[in-house]
Amino acid sequence: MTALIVNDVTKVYGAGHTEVRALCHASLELRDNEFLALLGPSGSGKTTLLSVIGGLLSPTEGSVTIGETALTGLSKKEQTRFRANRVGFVFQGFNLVPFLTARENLTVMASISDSPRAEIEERADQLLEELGLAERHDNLPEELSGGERQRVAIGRALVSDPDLILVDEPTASLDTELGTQVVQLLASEIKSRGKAGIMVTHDLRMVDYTDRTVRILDGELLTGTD
Amino acid sequence: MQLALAEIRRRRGRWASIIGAVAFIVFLVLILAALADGLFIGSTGALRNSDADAFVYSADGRRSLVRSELPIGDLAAVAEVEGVAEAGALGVLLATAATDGDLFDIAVIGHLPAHVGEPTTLTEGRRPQTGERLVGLADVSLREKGIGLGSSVLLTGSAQPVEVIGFVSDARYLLADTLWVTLETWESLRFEIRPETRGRGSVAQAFPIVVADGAAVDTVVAAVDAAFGTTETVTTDEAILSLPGVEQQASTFTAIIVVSFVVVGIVIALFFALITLEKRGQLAILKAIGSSNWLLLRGVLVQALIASVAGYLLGFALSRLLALILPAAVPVEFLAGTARTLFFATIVMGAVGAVLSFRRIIQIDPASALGGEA
Repeated sequence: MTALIVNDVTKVYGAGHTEVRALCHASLELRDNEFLALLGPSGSGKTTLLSVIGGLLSPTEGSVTIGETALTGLSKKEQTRFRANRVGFVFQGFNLVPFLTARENLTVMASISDSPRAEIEERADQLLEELGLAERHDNLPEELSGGERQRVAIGRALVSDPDLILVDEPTASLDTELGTQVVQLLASEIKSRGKAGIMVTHDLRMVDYTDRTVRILDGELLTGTD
Repeated sequence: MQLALAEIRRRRGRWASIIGAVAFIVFLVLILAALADGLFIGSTGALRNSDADAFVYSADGRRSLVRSELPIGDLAAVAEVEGVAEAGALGVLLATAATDGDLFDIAVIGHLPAHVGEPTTLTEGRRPQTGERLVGLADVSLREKGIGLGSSVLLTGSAQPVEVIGFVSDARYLLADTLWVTLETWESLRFEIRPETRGRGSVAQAFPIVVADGAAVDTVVAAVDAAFGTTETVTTDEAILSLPGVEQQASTFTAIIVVSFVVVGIVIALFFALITLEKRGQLAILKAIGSSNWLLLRGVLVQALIASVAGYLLGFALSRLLALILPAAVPVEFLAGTARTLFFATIVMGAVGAVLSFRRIIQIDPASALGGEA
C-alpha cells in the first residue's frame, strides 16, 4: 500500500528580492515496508522536504498525503495530533529529554499520543529489549553513550506505532562504526514492523541499508533515482 | 505532568533555587503581615472588641477618643434617638503605672458596666458592677507586667490603687495595656492625674451605640448627628480607622505586601523565561513529536504551582521559627485568615508568573527541531 504521496510540493520562503525557493515541484511516493534515503548536500532542501512531509511546515503549493490522510488539509492543531499518533521522528544529535531516563523518554509518548499508557509501556519495554537497552532503561541520557542515545531516540520514534518514520541525519553525531550500527538497527526496526521510513543523509555509506535513494539538489528531486 | 514532575525531581538544585527565592519573599511578607496584624490588633482592640455598631464623638473631637468630650447628661438623649437600641459611654485616660519599679504606659478606660462599649471577651474573674469603685478589668497583656487577679495598679500621680478583679483579651488601645474601670472610677482618677479637667463636669469621651435590628447604621448615625448638631457619629469601622496611625499603618503595610507579591510574580516569570530560553530546543523537539501547546503550558503551570506551594510552606515555616525567637515587645500576630489569604495570593502570583512565559512557548517553531537547529 502507498504510505506517502508528496504531490508537486513547492516551498517558497520570503518574497520579492528575498524569495528563496527551497522546494520546487517535488513529487514522491513511498510504499509501506519501504525505507528511503533522501540524499543531498547542505542547503539542497532535504530538511525542508522532511519538515513538509512531517507536517512541521506547510507547503506553498502541492499536497502531502500520509496513508489516507491529506496532511496539508489539516489545521495546525490536527497536524500536531497527527504527528503524535502517525509520524515518528529521529532527530540529529539524539535530542532526548535530558531529565528523563531511557525508558521515560519512550513512555513520555503516552502523554503525547492517544495510545493507552499500558500499551505504550509494554511497547517501550519490548523496544528497549530489541534495541539492546534493557539494562540501561533506568539511565539518564547523560549516562548513555552516543550510540545508546540514538537507539533510545529510535525507540521513541517507534513506541507510538506510527505509520511513517522520518529520520534526520541520524549519524551526524556518531563515528562511522556506530553510525553504521545505528542505521542498520533503524532499518531493521522499520522493516520488521512493515513501516515506511525516510532518512535524510549526506553520507553515501548509509544508503546501502535503505531500499531506495532519492537525490535532491537545489530543491528539486532528481529523476533517475537508485 | 510526567515531564513537569520529572524535571523538578531530577533538577533539584535549580528548583530549590526558585523555591528558596519564593520562600524568602513569602517569609518577609508573612512577617510583615504578622506585624501589620499585630499593630492593628494591639491598636484597635478597645473599640473593635465590643458590640458597638457606631461611636458618637463631639464634633470638635474630630473622631479622637482623647480629644472628644460629651456631657454625660446627653447619654439618655442619644439612647432615645430612633434606631438606637442601646448606648454606653467611654472615657480614656492615658497614664503610666509601675510594677517592680518599671514604668509602663497604660490606658485607663472608663465604661458603663453591662452596657455596650465594655470588652466582650472576659477570660478570667468578673466584671465591675455599676457603682463599684476602684476595681477594674485588665487586658491579659498586663500579666506580662506581673499583674494577676487581686493585684493593685497604681497610676503615676494617683493615690488610688485599682484592684484587678478580672481579665479581658484583645482590648488594647494604641498598643498600650488597658485597665477597664467604671466611668465613676475613671472620672476620679482623671481629676486626680489631670486636675485641669475638674472644671468640665461629668463627661464621657464617646458614646458607643448599638443599632436596633432592622435599622440601617448609616441612617441612625445621621439621625444622632441631626438630633444634637454638635456630634460626629461614625461607624465602628470608621472609628477604628480614625485611631491615630491605624489607617496609615494598614495602608503602608498593604502597599509593601502588594509590592512583594508583584516581586513573587516577577521572580517566577523570570525563572520560567530563563528556563524556557534554555529549553527552546527541547521544547521544539517535544512539539515536533506531537506535544500540543496546552500540554507544555500545563506542565509549566503545574511546576509554577509546585514552586509556589513549596515556597510558601517553607516561608511559612521560617516565619513561625522567627516568631519563636522574637521579643515579646514586637507586636506580631499570626492569623490563620491572613496566612490563608497570602497562600492563595502566592499561588495566584505563581500562576501569573508562569502564564507570562506562555507566549514564548507558543512561539517556538516545531520545524526548528529538524536540521540540527534544536
